[in-house]
Amino acid sequence: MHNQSGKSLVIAGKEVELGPDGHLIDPDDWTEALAGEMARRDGLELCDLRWWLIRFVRGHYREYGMPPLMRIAVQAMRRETGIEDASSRSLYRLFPDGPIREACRYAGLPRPESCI
Amino acid sequence: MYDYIALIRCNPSPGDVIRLSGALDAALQAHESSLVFFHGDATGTLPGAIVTTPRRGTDWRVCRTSWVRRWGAVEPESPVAVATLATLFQHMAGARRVDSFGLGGWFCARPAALAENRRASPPLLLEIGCAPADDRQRRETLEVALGAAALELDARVLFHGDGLGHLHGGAARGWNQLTDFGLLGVFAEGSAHRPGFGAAFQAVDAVSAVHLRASAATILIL
Repeated sequence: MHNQSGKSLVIAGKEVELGPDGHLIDPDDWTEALAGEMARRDGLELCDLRWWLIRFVRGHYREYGMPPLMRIAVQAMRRETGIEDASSRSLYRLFPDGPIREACRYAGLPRPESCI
Repeated sequence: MYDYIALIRCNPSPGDVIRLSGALDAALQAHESSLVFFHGDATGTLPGAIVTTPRRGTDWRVCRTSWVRRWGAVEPESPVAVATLATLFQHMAGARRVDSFGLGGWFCARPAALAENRRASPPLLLEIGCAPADDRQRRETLEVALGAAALELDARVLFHGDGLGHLHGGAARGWNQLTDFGLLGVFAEGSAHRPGFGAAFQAVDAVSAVHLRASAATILIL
């Protein structure tokens, strides 16, 4: 799902640069339309749950300065989406290549650098 | 499974490297299987200084994230290899002795011996008594706690002395997630009358801090 790595995207006439890992070079370039276009090029539909995770990751990053632990995202998913049996497996169903890392990419955030 | 685990986070002076090597050597000789885990600033030049030859029964590991931040794509030299904090925490419960050579001091814990005597005690206390020298050090100290939280360990964090600097103002926001999501208990010794601390951290006095230490089966000095 990294087919636009190291390239750029043109959204609404504006060229947006991506790093070699497919994450935005400048997080300020992010828009929901851009996330949608990135997903479209990856052949992925951003359903409501995927959007929920993308927005949650952005909000967590804004609040705490880093992406959430998987454990936190699962806890929030249970609370905010009403999926009581949500688990890390639920998140992997959304983004099989790594839910937090992929959500960060579509959310315009840097690639998570921590190994935890 | 390791008999002995050493977590090294300090970046000692040349004189202290000799002292640390001596202490580590003695501990490694006394145990059949050991894990030495370098994290944070200790993944700089320290592994090269103290890991000179392979030692039977000892695995030398550097935290992958800490290593990449300092060395990029360069691989550590054998016998040192990269690992994650999960490796460290997953083996900690079974070790007979856990030493921490932290930024805030050195400590020797004997978790198995304690666990026999104390039932239902929180197994892990992360103690932070050293102010962060820079943002990277601040972040890497937090990552140890997040590693414990990610594995759902029963752990607590105790800040004291200069370590309270981690909780000042906006810098505390990363730590807030531990309490906001109920991941770990966060205690701050002597913070009750200091301004600038979030209410999320439980202020404790010196006596309560002693109780926290006494009830922990393993203490890691970060």
